[in-house]
Formats: sequence, C-alpha cells, structure tokens
Amino acid sequence: MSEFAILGKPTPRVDGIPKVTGKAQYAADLSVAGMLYGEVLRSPYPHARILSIDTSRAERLPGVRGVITGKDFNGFRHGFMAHTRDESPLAPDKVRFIGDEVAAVAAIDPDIAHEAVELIRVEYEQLPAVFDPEEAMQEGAPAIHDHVQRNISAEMHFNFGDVEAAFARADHVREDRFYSQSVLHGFLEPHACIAQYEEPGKITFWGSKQSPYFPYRNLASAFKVPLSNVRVIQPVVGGGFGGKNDTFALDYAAVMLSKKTGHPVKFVYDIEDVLMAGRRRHPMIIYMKTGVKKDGTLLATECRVIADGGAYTAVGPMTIYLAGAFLTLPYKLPNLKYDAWRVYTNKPVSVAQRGHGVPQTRFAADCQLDLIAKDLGLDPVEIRLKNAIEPGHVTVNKIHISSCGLKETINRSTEFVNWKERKQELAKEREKGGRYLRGIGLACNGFMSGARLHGHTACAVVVKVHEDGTVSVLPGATDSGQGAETVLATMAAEVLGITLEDVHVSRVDSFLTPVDPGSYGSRVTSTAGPALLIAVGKCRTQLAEVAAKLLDAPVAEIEFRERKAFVKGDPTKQMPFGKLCRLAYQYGSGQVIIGEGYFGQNVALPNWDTGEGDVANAYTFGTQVAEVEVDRETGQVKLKKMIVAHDLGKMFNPLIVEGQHDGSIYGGMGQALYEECLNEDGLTLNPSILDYKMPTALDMPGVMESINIETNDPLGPFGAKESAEGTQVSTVPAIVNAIYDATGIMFTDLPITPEKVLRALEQKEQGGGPIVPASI
Amino acid sequence: MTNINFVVNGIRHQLAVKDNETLLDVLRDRLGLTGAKKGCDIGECGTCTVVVDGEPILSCITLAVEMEGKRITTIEGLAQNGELHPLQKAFHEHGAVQCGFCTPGMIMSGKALLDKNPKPTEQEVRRAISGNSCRCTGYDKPVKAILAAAEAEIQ
Amino acid sequence: MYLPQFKYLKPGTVAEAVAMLSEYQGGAGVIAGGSDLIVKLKHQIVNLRYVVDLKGISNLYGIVSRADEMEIGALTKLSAIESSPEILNKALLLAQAASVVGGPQHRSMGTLGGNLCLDTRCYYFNQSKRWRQSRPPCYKTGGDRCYVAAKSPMCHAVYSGDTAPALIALGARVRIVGPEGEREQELELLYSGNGKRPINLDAQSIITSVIIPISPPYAGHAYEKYRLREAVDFPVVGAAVALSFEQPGGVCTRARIVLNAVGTAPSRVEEAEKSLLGRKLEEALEEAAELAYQSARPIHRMGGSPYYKKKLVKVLTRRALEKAGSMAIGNV
Ligand SMILES: Cc1cc2nc3c(=O)[nH]c(=O)nc-3n(C[C@H](O)[C@H](O)[C@H](O)COP(=O)(O)OP(=O)(O)OC[C@H]3O[C@@H](n4cnc5c(N)ncnc54)[C@H](O)[C@@H]3O)c2cc1C
Ligand code: SF4
Ligand code: FES
Ligand code: FES
Repeated sequence: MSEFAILGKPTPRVDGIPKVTGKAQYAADLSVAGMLYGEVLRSPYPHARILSIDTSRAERLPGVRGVITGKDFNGFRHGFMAHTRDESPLAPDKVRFIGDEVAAVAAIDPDIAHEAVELIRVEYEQLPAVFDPEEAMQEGAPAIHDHVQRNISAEMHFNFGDVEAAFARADHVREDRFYSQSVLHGFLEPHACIAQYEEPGKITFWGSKQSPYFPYRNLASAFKVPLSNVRVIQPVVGGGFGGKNDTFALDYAAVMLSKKTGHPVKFVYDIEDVLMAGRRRHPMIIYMKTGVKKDGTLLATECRVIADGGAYTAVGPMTIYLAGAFLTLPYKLPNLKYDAWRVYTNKPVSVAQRGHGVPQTRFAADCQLDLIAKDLGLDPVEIRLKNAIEPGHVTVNKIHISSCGLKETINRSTEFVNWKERKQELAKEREKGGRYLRGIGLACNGFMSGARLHGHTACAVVVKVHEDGTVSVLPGATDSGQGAETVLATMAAEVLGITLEDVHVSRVDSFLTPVDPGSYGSRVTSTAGPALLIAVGKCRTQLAEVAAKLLDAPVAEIEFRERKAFVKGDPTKQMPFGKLCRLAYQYGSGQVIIGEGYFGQNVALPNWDTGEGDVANAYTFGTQVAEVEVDRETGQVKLKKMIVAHDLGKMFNPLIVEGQHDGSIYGGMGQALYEECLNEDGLTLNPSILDYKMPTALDMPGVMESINIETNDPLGPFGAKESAEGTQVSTVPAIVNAIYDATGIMFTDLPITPEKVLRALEQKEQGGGPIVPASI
Repeated sequence: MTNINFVVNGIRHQLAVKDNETLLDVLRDRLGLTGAKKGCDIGECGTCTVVVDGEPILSCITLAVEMEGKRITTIEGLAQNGELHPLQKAFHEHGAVQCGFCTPGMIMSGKALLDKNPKPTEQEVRRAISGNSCRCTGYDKPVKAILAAAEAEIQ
Repeated sequence: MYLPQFKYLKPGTVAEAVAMLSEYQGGAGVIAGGSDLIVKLKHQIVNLRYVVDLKGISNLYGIVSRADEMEIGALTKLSAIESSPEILNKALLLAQAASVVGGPQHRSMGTLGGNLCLDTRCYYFNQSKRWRQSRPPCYKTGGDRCYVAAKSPMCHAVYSGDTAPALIALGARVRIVGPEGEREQELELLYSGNGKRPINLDAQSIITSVIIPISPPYAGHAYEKYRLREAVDFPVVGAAVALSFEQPGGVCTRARIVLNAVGTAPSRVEEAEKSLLGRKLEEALEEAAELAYQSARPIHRMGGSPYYKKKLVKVLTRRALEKAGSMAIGNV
C-alpha cells in the first residue's frame, strides 16, 4: 500500500464535474445586470500615424452608450518592466501592426456595437513598415518606436568561460542556422471579460486570465486607483498556455467604457481577434555554433538569436533571457556565448508560450546534436548520455541542479522502444523501399520548475477549515486547465487525511485570495504547492492540538487519515474529522482554524545583465522518443509514436500528468509539422481554425506513452516538480530528429511541411546536401 | 422575428427569434444554456456542437429559425435525475477534461456517435470527434473516455 | 460574430422557392445545410436580404433507384450519402467523396446540393469583412486586382468541393428548376471555370437532384483527397477516377479522371482519359498520371506551390487509378 491516500493515484479532477455537465462558467458565459456589450476597432494598416478619429457617427447610432479612443487613457502605457512600457491600451497616435486597437464602443447589444465600430472614421497616414526582423535591425529601417535604435526591443549578451579557446581546442566544430516559426497558443476560448467601474474608483473585473494579478496591477495603474480598489474575479479559464497573462485592449476598454457609461461592460473577442491580432510564440532565427571532442563531449556553444518580437515588448526580455539560460541544460556545457536581440516588427506581439523561449533554442541545440553525432559516427543516445547533466551539477551560468533523473529518462524511454533494434529494423525497412520512410529520434529537455522572474515572486495560500470538516483553499495561483486546483486540493486532503470532495479550491478573487505573481513558468505545483503545505500544516497543527486535548494524547501522536483523527498506535482513540472540526470551533477557545503560508525563492534572483544565476528552485528533466512515417511521394510526415519519460520529482496524479504530456506533444507536433501563422506584409493569411491547421484527433499518434520518474526534489512539495512545460521543449526536436533518421535530411526550418520534405527528398536524390537551409 | 416551436433537452419552447440569430446565440443568451461554447462562431472548431434529431451539428452556423419542430439535446440535457451520462462520467474519470472548453462539444459528438454505433472502434471514435478541436488533451484521453463509455453502456 | 440582418423565407414547394428567388432577384439566396452559406454571410462575402430555406420542400430529399440510374435529392445530407447502402453499393465513389468532407458535423449539416454549389475559395476571399478591409478589394470582391497572381487579369480562386469531381467522374447529371421550368444537364457544365463566378446557375434557379448513371460491370473508381489534416480540411489536391473494363484485367473501355482543387473548376483530364482507352491499366497507368501532371495548372497559395501541387496531381492520379483498377477486378 502506498503511504498516500490520494497522491499518486489517478483521481478525477476537482473541476471535472462542472466541466462535463456544461455548468462551468467561463467569462463569456457570465452576465451582469445592466451590462453593455463592447467591441474594439482595429487598425487595418501595419504601420500608420493616426491623424484623426471621428467617432461622432458611432456615438449617434441608437443604442450606443460610449465610444473611447487612445486619448482617454491619458498617456498610460504598460509593459513588463519599467523601461519597456511601450504599449497603450488603445493606440493614441500610431498603430504598429494590423489589428492594433484604436477605439472601442459600448452598446446595448453586440450587433449595435459592431455596427458602431464600423462607423468610426480614422484618418491614417501610412508609414513604411518592416516585417523581417533581420531587416528591421538594419540602419535606416523604419522606426517602429521612436525611443529605440534599430528597432531593438531588448537584447541579452551572456559570456561564460571562453568559447574561442574551446573552439580552438575542439576536434569538431559546426555551425547551423535554425528557424522556429510563429505559432499561436491555440486555446479555443477567445479572450473575454466583464468590467464594472463604480465611483469612487472601484473596479470589479471578471476576465479570462491565467494570471489575474497582472490585470489587478495594470488596471490599478491605468485608472490611478489603489490596488485594493481593484477586484479581479477569475471565471473558469478555457486554456492559456502563456497567452492569457497580459492585460489586453478589451480589458482596459471594458473598464474605461464602464467608467464612462456607468454600466458594466462585457467584451468577447472573436477567434479572429485572437488569431489575427493576438499574441503568439516568438519566431527565432538561431545561429548555433558548437564545438565537441571526438568522443562527443560538448565543449562550447556560441549562439546568436534574432527574435521577432512584433510591435511591442511585453514579456519579451524574459523570453530571450530564458532562451539563452537554457542552453546549458540538459547537457553539460562548459563554455557559452549567447547574443540575442529581440526586434520590433510591424506584426502581432510575441510573448511567452508553453516552454517560454526555451523550445526555440533547444530545438536548435538538440537537432544540432544529432548532426554532430552523425559527423562523429556516434549514436544519438550515446552522445546524450555522455553529456547528460547529473544531480548536483552547477552549470557554467550558475544554475544549481539538485534532483536530476535525466539519464534515467534517456534509458527508460529508449529501452521502451528497444532503441538499437528498432533503429536498425527501420533502417533495413527503408532500404527495401516502398511508399514510407520510417525513422526514430530522440531529444531531451531540462526545464524550470517554478520560474522566478523579478519583483514579487512568492506564492501564497490561505486555508480555512470549516466546522463541517471541509476545507477551503484560497490560492493566488490559478488553473487554466492544467489541473492546478486538483493538485492543490490533493495536497490539502493528503495532509488533513480527508478526501478531495472535502476540499474546495477557490478561483482568484483579489479581495479574498492572496496576491500572486501569476500562473506561468510551471509555478503552481512547485511554488504555490509549498505555500499550501505551510498553510495547511498550520491548520493541521491547530487541529492536532484540539484533538490531543479531546483524545487525551500528546500533540505529536495525532495523525489524520480516512477522515479521522487518530492517536498513533492506539486505534481505540479516534474521532471523525468533521466532529473534530466542529468541536474545535464550539468548545475550544473559539479560535477559527485558518492557516496561511507563502513560499518564495530564497536564493538570489538571476543577474539580468550577465545571465548568471538560477531561474527556479528546481529543474525537471526529460527525454522523448518519436517515431515518424514519411510519405516519399507526398512528403507528408505522420507522427506514429511518442514516448515521454519525465523526471517530475513526484507523481501527484497520473491522469493529470499524462494529460499535460499529451498536451505538450500535441502543441509540439503542431509546431513541428502543421502550424504556422502565415504573414504577408503584416497580415495574417490564416486567422481561422480551418486554415491555421491545428491537428485533429485523426492526426495524432496512436501511441503516446508516459514514463514518469520520481527523483524527490528536496525543495518540491512532497518532492514534486513541474510536469507541464518541459515536454513541450523536447517534442519538436524529437520529431525533427526522427525525420532526420527517416530521410537523412535535417530540417532546420519549422514547420516541416510536406512540400519542404518532398523538395528536400528530391534534392537529396539529385545529390544535394543533408540540410535544407531555406524556407519555402 | 419569427415564432418557433422546438424542444430543448425535453422541454418545449415557443420563442420569437430574429431571423439572423444563430441557434448557439439563442441557446446561450435566450435559454441560458451556456454549456455549448462559442469558440470560433464560424463552423470550424466544434465547441458549439449540439445534437439535433440525432445528428451532431454546429449551432454557430445554424439559424435558430431553422429549428422549427426540432428536438435538440445540449450538454445540459445529458445528465438524468442527477446521474451523469456515461460519457460525462467517463470524461471525468479518464482525465479527458482539462480546460474544459471543448468538452461539451466533444461529449455531444460522442453522444451522437454512440447513439448510432454503440460499439465503435478507436478509429471510429477518432473520426467522430475529428470535427472537435482541443488544444489541451491531444485527444488521447477523450478517445479513451468515449470507448470506456461505450463499454459501460453496453454492460 | 456579426451576422447581418435578412429575412428568412421557407417555401413548401420548388415552384414557390423559384418564385421567391425571382421576386427578390439578386437579393435572395438559398440555404440548404447552411454550413457554407452562414459562414459566408458572417464574413459578408455574400450579402442577402432574403434567405430562402429549401429544407421545407419534401421532394428534394431521398434516393430513388431506377434500372440504369439513381437519383439523389439535392437536400440529401452528406452523412446520409456516406452511409447509404444504396449509394455504397451503386455509387461508392460518391460515398467516398462525401465521407471526406469537413468534419462529422459538416457532413450531418451539409447537403449534396450545397456541396455542388460551393463557391471557389481563396485566402484573400474567405475572410471577414474587417480582414479584407486592410487591402483594396480583389476581382472576386469587386476590385481590380488579384493577390494570388499579381499580373493576372482574372480571379484564380480554387474550386474544392469534394463531391463534384466524384460525380463528374461518374458522369452525373443535375436537374435544375428555374423560372423557365425544369432542365437536366451534365453536372460538368455547372462549373464555369470563372473563379469569380464559378457556378453556372442563375440566382433564380435551384438544383433539385443529381442523377447518376449506374456503372457497367467491371467498373472501378476511387477518390484520392490530399490534405494536411485528416479532417476539417479542404483538399490541397484531389483526384477522382472512374474506369470501366472490357472484362476483369482487360482493356479499359471508359475512363474519367477529374482533378480537384487545381483550378477554378473540377477539371477532367481528357488526354489522360484517352490514353487509357483500349489499353490495360498497368500498361497505361504511368502515362495517364504523367498526362494529368502535365495538364494541371495549379496556382500558388492554398496548400503549396504550383510545383508541389503538380507533383501531387501525379501521385494522386496514379493512386486513384490503381485503386480503381483493383476495385474493378474485385467488382465482377
Ligand atoms: C470548417 C469547414 C470545413 C469544410 N470542409 C469541406 C470539405 O472538406 N469539402 C467540402 O466539399 N466542403 C467543405 N465544407 C463546406 C460545406 O460544409 C460543404 O460543402 C457542404 O456540403 C455544403 O452544403 P450545405 O448544404 O451546408 O450548403 P449551404 O451552405 O446551404 O449552401 C452552399 C451554397 O450552395 C447554394 N445552394 C445550396 N443548395 C442549393 C440548391 N439545391 N440549389 C442551388 N443552390 C444551392 C447556397 O445558396 C450556397 O451558396 C466545409 C465547411 C466548413 C465550415
Ligand atoms: S484568386 Fe485573386 S481575385 Fe480571386 S479571390 Fe483570390 S485574390 Fe481575389
Ligand atoms: S463555435 Fe461553432 S464550430 Fe466553432
Ligand atoms: S480541454 Fe481545453 S480545449 Fe480541450
């Protein structure tokens, strides 16, 4: 029998029933009495000065209650850091991409709001625009923001060890260029919110947000009201993946229009708003130069990244920081030079997305490793085992690894598929010819378990025990589908010996729940988890004290399990948990059983200038093995199998963990083979679910296997680490490497469309090189 | 405005609807049935799927006026007397739900399938939900859940 | 998404429907399953003051089998077609094509008539009004340019409905009722080849049924649809093939090869068809595929470059011919 009652078991989620019955309320499902409906007006041009805006016709349309423009926000700008506040709720003077918001309307119904938006006349002076980040960096390129030179929105330069000396020493050095394309978060719930502004300066805001304390702070600054006046209430969130962190035009506009009209205002974006003008993953051009010894030992990497930032900075500096910091994980790398520029272009804004910046550079690094292995005549598994990080390792950029099961993930995943035999078998099969070329590939990842950025970085939780033996958990962290509520409930139930049904996890309500940085960077289990354990531990202590008195035993002897309080070693002395709670309230001192806890990261923050230091308390590791099938005649690639082996510290709930892996495989497969925002002169050509090409149920591999490895991290709650994003990091390179095995061609440009594959196969037949450099 | 009579989840409704109102908007805004979701609103994502006379349809590209005389089942109509429908139970128990935004539509596609084909193969299940996008699950657990529900219903 | 206002009309007979369409000339359009029309209305690429619903007309439904042909009502759902034993038995090719349209929901909404009348598609056309406003209109939306082929004097939007190529391969005819009465014509003639106005049907007429001649013995056919995803995707390229043979393994006596999504209409490749006649399939197959390849003039965008789509034409034609050949052998 396991030492845990719930932990580690495939327990259904706490939010499952409302979701399967259709009762779960998402932002667009809410309504508030008297509310109006809003819509935004977007720029049709990629770069233009706003000369004038005439809203009079819109205002005169019957049913319209308010119209606002950028001027209403009095110069307020928002951004991730003080010096990167370059974004306005509505563009006041200049638009910088097609879809940039310029005005908004509130009306008594959505149709009238739409008609009103069409009546707004904006006079623009079109400006030269730039869409290619390498062009945008040139002297003389159109200036997208006046305050910066050469459109550099952020840059990072790290230099650890001595790469030049290492290259000189290396037996083999190679340099490759990779490109990771523009992909969307892909959540199906478009952004939506309702805002209510009441004088004097009270804001209530219901919004689909994965990090509700972002709008909490942003709205307070935008409307110059005290933080405590802003009440952000989180509905159920229909997926985020990094795309529902920021505060967007609709959020600010809803509050401003509510302020102007005296009514609550609801905004629901169309999916086209999201797909055409919404945020996306940073496309990156990656130049990667790596030197190795003959035996495959990595000596140095020099990496140059040009990240296409789109029109504003948002969280971008963090993205290119992480893209560089993770070059030293999961393989030992003694020398690293990293130079990254995040460049403004007249396109929608690039931000964090599942894996935040790391999947791009790790795709390059892990695929280059296969090229190196081939150059040296080494097996891809061998070269990875040779370089794999081990527990206790400190990277050259001072990332401290505690628990690490990387080698085990490599071994277990490759054993699962019989790597050697399977590789040979497929090679033989290819020699025979036939319609399909099949191949197998692997890639590894290391990821942060609980990102720590700057500023406020701790998570806090309040736990309240009710008289009837149930418990409320009030976290500042949120669940946007990943299962955070269930994980928190599991920990609380486990500590108090009660069941999941006894635990209610509240969604964020900034009046009630503690402030939190946000649910990004795999933070909830790893950072809110320990906070919860402290909070629930305090409740447990109080209850144990009461139980000790009632059961006449020392406090230390009290145990909680099966909804009962026990005295250790004496089964006759016990009491139902509910009764204990009731007695605690009624016969005790009258003390209310509440516990609170917070957990921050006690180590120093990373050095943003040098790139040195930890970005999390703990790190996860994993390996993925992919098997693909390439149709020689059409170039189409199908992922047939994906094995994930992940060091998650401690398994909390296999249903949730497997679900997270499945989701990462899905997103990664989409990025590798299917998805791309096609952009033509700033206009997204495929802003629809039909044309954006997220895979369907029929496109997924029949075999998706999760192997989970427990390494019990000393800092993790119950030893746990993240299991949400790491897998996203290695999915793409595992697939690309499998295609390399199948075809002998390393595709360095994502996505690997059938056309690219077919052309490369033809080129190869005609004696072309092993790499397809340019995109098609 | 046109008057229509239709049955939603067993309840008869008589309603004056605008000719350009979609079934999805009528369900959500007029009948308070917000279980069907508006993902794309142009017939591409499947989150608005409901079952009309036994067929899975996209309520966002169906006019409410076309519903005269029809029987509609939405996610809210599946549970009977507080008992979850086997599909709902299976989605819950097999971890087929994450953010849940696609879930009502996906379950309704599963329902239309099982009503016609109580013992589907895995491939038939995949095909039946191939019009329902999901970003969270990679479809693996939803497929398993539908197969399990079929199994449970047979027993 | 905003759906502009219109008046909904529900005629009970074909005559009534035609009368309504005639009365509101230009401002009225028919809706069948609506799976295409409502999207176009929301995108405001068609604007209608009257929407005439055909679903109340009972004689537009159903499948009637006669000795040498089969007639399918225009309102028959694609889901009914893909699973009808009658069609699976006598016109498998149509069932195959219907079964790969969109997703299950599109097939249970979409009708055969609606599928045949599908407009041509283009990245620059099938977009919201707002999207299109970022650029001057193209030919298809009343402008003076084409974004796909900058120098072209005309629209190259792609026809990509799935059932039309299959039905043309089978030699199907359509019955049309308009103000002048009823007529029957080759389905092939429904497609004008004009990207801007691809369907040869005036706004007052409706398709009432499709008539499919029953294939002779020793016939085989296949529809190969290539797309990136296995569902909810229009074809990047499609090839429908219908063949008849003198005897199993004998020479080919009738051949139709129809390409899909390579141009403004589903198009027969007559040279390739001719090349098969009087020859055994295995001897003629490669040549026919090559002729299809040479004849295809696909345009840029929508799934790939012309170069790539031409390659697909060859591969898919060959695959369809092979499948049709083996079906004919099994089909004694
Ligand atoms: C996401 C998505 C994916 C799709 N994928 C595919 C696909 O892969 N392949 C494919 O072929 N289609 C696809 N479709 C298009 C559409 O669903 C189908 O073509 C369907 O068969 C259209 O039939 P309908 O009855 O719904 O047409 P409607 O929308 O009712 O009508 C379509 C057009 O035909 C006209 N019309 C309808 N019936 C008649 C008639 N009897 N006489 C004269 N005119 C008539 C209408 O006026 C309208 O212009 C897709 C649609 C969507 C939204
Ligand atoms: S092919 Fe050219 S003219 Fe036709 S719809 Fe596309 S862009 Fe417009
Ligand atoms: S909302 Fe209806 S299909 Fe997307
Ligand atoms: S569970 Fe989130 S989209 Fe399917």
